[in-house]
Amino acid sequence: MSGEPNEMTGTAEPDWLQDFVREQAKTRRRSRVEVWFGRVVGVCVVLAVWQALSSFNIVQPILISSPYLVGKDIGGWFGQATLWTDLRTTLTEMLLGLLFGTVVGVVSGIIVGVRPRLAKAVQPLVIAVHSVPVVVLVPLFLLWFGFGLFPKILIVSLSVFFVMFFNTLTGTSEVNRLLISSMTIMGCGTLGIVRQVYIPSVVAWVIIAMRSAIAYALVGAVVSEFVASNSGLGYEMNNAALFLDVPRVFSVLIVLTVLGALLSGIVDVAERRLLRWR
Amino acid sequence: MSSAGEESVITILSGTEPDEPAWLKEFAARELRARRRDHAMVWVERIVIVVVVLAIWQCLESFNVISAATISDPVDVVRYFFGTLLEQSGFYTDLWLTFQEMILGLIFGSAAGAVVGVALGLLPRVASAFQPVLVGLNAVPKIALAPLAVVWLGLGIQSKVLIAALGVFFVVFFNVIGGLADRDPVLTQNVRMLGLSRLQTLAAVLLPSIGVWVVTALKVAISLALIGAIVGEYVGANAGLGYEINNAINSVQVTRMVALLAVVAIIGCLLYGVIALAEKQILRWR
Repeated sequence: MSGEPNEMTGTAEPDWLQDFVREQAKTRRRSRVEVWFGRVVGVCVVLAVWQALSSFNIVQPILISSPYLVGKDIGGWFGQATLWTDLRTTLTEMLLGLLFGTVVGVVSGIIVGVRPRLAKAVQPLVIAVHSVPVVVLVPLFLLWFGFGLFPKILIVSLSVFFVMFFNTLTGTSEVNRLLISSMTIMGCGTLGIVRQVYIPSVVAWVIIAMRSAIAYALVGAVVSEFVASNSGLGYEMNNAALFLDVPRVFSVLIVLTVLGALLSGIVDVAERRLLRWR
Repeated sequence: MSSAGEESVITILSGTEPDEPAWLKEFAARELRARRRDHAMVWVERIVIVVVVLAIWQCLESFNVISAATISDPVDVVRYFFGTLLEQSGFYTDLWLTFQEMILGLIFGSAAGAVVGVALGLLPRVASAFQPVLVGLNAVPKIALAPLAVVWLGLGIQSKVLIAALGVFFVVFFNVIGGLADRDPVLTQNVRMLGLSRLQTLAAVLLPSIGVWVVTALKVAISLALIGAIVGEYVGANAGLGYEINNAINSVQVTRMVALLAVVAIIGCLLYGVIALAEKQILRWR
């Protein structure tokens, strides 16, 4: 698509066309440079305003910290063991919760979705239960299952479950009924239909749901660590806030954001690989 | 298909079409019966599911499978809800406070989101410059800002309003900016050609459609506002439903806690219903 002469047909293109194509490519390149320049300026402006607010004492520096202090804190934190133990705790909660929530959500979504009447019966109940934010249940789970990893994994699983269940249910109800009828006519049993029709068509929905599931998992893990824990990124943050260690609060936020971005990056890669046939 | 069956039955009942063959009448009546039975079965299944869940809960407690202190039971919860909770004046203060936090968060968050969204939607250069900052901020789990908000604004209502508003802001902002990017360029060009100024175009064409995007965003935002208010109260507060729930758990009053959680659930359901209704009203012209 660059301004090369046409190699495919081998025919010589007229000079004015080559010039035109070359000119267009140049403009496009220039505008891309401009966009990136603008972005760098945007980030710099935000950081500069933040630094200025704190350096010139416009807002109390102890409350908002500053980019410099946050950078220094996060650099120091990388050398300490606490970052890695916290990261391991939160990541364990998230990944195990994602695993259980996805498996249970997808399986029950297919079981319910295969029977349209049951799906109709269950839907309003699940919506009612879902309207209670799962993170609100954190204290209850902590009371039942103690302060260890288990209640946190359960919270994460539950938030992930709802996302997965809804998406799988939608996915199964969008399956072409004609396909199922013809499979039945050809003598395929329910299990065969599930394996050959439902599961392949649900995969796309599950992968798309995975992105929001990751966000829910992150919030579930962090909030349950706020309420009661002795390790993890949420614990670290709540502790830092208690001791007015604002740079550390921002450092934890940055680590959480990067963690979320990395996980959804993995989902993006998986999506591109698994849904390539589309 | 369903309306066709309904119609033929209506014509049978009103007797306006006497020359319908008997087998067709028979068929229509049977169809209608089958559909009614199906509809009834759906409700029966719903009730069975709810009853089974409540029965299991009650049995777990009654037969001492799990101690009453940790799970309570439905009968106790209902009795506590109507007998004690609704009688306490403190409950209404807490309810009102949490409700205020939510609603103020919704108002401030969606107003700020709409204003910034429109501003950046109309200034594409500035929008492209700030895009990485906004995408980065959006990736931050907003609820994780709760401890920071409490440090900044204290234990009062302000910190909870901020937490609720932050979640709402991003949802509304991204919806509005998406809506503006999606607008029909022909329509704006036509209006401009008819001689309206830039500002007039904004008022006549763009602002009315913003309402639609904000309402669509509110459906998601409303549960974020509820979560923000309650979790904010978990992290640091001296009143409100979340504060009371956390307190009940610390003093192992499970019945009270479950009753309060039920209140939160009811608020969530009601607000969702209100927004869904408003959406249906506003988007009816579509």
